[in-house]
Amino acid sequence: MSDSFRIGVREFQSRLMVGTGKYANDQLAIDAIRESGADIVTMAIRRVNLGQNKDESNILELISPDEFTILPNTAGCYTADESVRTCKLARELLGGHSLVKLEVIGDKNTLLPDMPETLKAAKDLVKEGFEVMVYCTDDFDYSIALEDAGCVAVMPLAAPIGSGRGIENPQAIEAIVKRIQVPVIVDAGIGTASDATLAMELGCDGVLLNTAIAGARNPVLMAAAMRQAVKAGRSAYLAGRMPKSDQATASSPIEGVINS
Amino acid sequence: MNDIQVSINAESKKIPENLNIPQLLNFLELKDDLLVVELNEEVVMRADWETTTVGEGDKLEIVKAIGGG
Repeated sequence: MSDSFRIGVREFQSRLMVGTGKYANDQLAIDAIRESGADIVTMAIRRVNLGQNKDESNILELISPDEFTILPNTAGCYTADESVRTCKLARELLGGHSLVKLEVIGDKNTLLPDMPETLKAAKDLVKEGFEVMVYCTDDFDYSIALEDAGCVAVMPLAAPIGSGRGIENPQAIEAIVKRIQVPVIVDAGIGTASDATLAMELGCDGVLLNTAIAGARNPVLMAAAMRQAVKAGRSAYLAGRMPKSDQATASSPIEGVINS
Repeated sequence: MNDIQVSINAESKKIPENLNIPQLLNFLELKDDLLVVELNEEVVMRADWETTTVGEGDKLEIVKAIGGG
């Protein structure tokens, strides 16, 4: 059964999106990313090292825009202006591609988003013609404001970036899912497969993660687990779970028990 | 030929005058694909590389994609 979904003008099959950071080496990164089945792959934009080896490999040679939809991020940006500049560089680097992941960080220790600055950046980027997938807190009102600003996906965090703590506030995520019309994607804080499943069971349209795979003892195996976890959670959401009950209800009929 | 002083990736550099972008990248021994150049906070489109010349005091950023989440 096809269960594709749309972000902006593009249609995707996989609801798992993965990052490319923190892998021990490039080969492990590409092996894990292929195993994850992800269509969308995030990357960061950074200065080249002057004096670097001319033959040093470039990540875009290995993880190619021909195979994946590259989602450049604005990680490391603390202001709207820096993030707009970064997105413009990324757009030129990727041949005019306009889909970006906006993140504007407020504090280098918590890495939590600066929401007023994120909203300002989102408005500026939409005006510049970008399709903005926006990393945000699980704040309900800001989610609405970001959708109203024209973002193509709202991406509340499960927990702080790289913490692996899982979904700390499922009620907040669920409230956003119920209200927001554009795709809601849990981004950051996923630790293991069941966290990804829970996100999907809450009705999220997708999950974006990096360290949960890259930081696993066996990243390729965890990539497979995440692919299955997202599918399982999505199916459970579509299937509609049974109601919870305070009381036990026997699954086997009472009648005809041999010693009655 | 005279040298000029520019800033590249926040490093102060002396480079020959009148270099266009491909010549600058060649001077810096950088492969010219899969990277992007910003001159004084404006992206230089690849189509404009040949006709864009670097001048005294210019601020350049040369960036690429790397692994990230």
